[in-house]
Amino acid sequence: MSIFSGPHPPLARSAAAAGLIRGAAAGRFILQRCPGCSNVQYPPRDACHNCLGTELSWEVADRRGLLSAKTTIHSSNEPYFQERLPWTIGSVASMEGPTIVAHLLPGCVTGEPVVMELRLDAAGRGVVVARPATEHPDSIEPSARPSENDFLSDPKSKRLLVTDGCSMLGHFVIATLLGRGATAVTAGCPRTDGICPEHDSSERLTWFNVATDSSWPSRKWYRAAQLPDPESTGDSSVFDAVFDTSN
Amino acid sequence: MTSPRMKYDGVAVAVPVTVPYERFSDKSAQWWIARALKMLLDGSGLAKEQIDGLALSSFTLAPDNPVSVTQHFGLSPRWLDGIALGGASGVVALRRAARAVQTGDASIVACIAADTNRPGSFRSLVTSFSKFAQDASYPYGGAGPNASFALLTDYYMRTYSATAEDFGKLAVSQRANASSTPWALLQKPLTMQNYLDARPISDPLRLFDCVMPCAGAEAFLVMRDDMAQELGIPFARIMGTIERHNAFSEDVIQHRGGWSVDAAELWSSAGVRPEDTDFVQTYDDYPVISMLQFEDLGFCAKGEGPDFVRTHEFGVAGNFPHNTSGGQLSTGQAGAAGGHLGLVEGIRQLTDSAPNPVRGGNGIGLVSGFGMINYDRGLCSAAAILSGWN
Repeated sequence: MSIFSGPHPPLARSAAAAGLIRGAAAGRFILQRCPGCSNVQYPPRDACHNCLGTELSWEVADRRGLLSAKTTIHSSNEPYFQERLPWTIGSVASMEGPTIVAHLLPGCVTGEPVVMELRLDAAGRGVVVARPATEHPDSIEPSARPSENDFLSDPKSKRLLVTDGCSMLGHFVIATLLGRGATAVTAGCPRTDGICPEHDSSERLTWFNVATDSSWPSRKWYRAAQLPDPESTGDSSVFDAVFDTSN
Repeated sequence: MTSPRMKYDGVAVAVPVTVPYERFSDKSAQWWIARALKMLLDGSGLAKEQIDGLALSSFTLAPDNPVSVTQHFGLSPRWLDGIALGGASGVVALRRAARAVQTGDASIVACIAADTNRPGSFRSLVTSFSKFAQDASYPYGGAGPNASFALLTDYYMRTYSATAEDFGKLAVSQRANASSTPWALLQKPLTMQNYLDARPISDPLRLFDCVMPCAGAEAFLVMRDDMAQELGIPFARIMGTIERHNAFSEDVIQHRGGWSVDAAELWSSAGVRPEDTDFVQTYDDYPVISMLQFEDLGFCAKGEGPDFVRTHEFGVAGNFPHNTSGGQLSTGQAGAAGGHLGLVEGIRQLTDSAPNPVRGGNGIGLVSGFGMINYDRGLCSAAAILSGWN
């Protein structure tokens, strides 16, 4: 997955959406659930839209849904997608209730069941990806986008970067990735004052003190981390994926 | 539960103005607002000091906000409202302003919507339109509202057997209407074949299903009717209005808007029926949305939109004059001004100042608004029934 040469998908997310990155790291389909009234909601919110409770948890949810509608996009505002058009997305009526806009892997048929996953897109953000509940291999165009390769599926044997390893989200993501067999995780530490909580020690985990004034690993980020600059070395695969846990 | 709605008696809606649109503009939103305000003053004979109420809608005002504009233009209103409801902002501004005038909180309210359009400014609007869009729709292809409306058009077509030709008929007739509108950016005649052959944008939407972002301004005045009479300016009256937000949130995909919650009350409060109207100005960011309005406002039943389109003609001489200036599909979408376009054209029709006039009839028209795709559907709906001044 080359994320450093060329454009990436939109990065900006609200804090409420951090659970999607956690789910993608853990390989679990989790949605926001209100412990007070059991309401499941999407998109992520800062309060339960049913009872207004503000203590929300992320829990494993039913991955099934029905594809209500789909569209193949031929014109995008984003250079990342412009290079990959046409790109297909859909609107899924999830078994849990909410409507979920999802990337559609090839073969999804409108009106038919789909199964959703949380995956990591090329910007290091958790996104919902749907695939047909029943594959129709004949109808699949091999060149159709998005494809499996547009999302990180399994951290096993991968070299991964977690931009802010010291946030709660960062801790969770690192532990999950190492637990799932990642070969090497590199994590940024935004603290320069030495008061950072003790870093988790593992031979597969490398920490760098990085003043992360930029939320994205820029050239400056690499210089600060004393890592090879992927642009100047021509090696765009220093990492297989980036989990951007800074907000 | 709900209390009965007070009538809009004694309120005049006047001086419909449009600052001619430009595809791109290096001017600011403030420049476009100033042009609109000047046109309101010139059209009414009022002095700037007499404007004591201001309702303002703009997406491109930042870092300013509506109160900044008062200092920018030397206004000192005693009533000020910023209405950030996109395509519903025109009717909502009308509703707010009418009540302000009735209660005496303001005497003369200028309702102005204006936006500029620099290359790239539409992209920056859609990238950060809302939290939900940022988290859960924009990252899915980066196509903004085109993709959202494509999804609901796809659903509508399959559920109600609408065809591309049905949507094309609306686009083609609006283009014909635009031929009389001097500021319409798209005036080249459009045939059904042109419509069908246009490049795909986001299936099933084609190029001429989508509005062209541009710069422009739309505005009108709301005041007491005796004041309008004293000034000797023609005006329209408000027979009834509604607004509704986030209706039918349980629908898995949007196939109806909030109008259907309130349409019965709209017609009964106005004391007229759908067939009494001479024209309808819908919010036409995409043809499917016009079809939803025909259904949800009671011109036909749910699901009959396609058949309604097949059996009606939408020019000023047709049996259902619709978007008589060409609508946004042909004049362009000047940001929030797109939400005032239909209302301004409706006032023009009812004050005998439309370049493409609907002849005869009862002097009654319906104007409708729709706005704000926060995530997967438009949240705001609004409508007003207006009558002519004579």
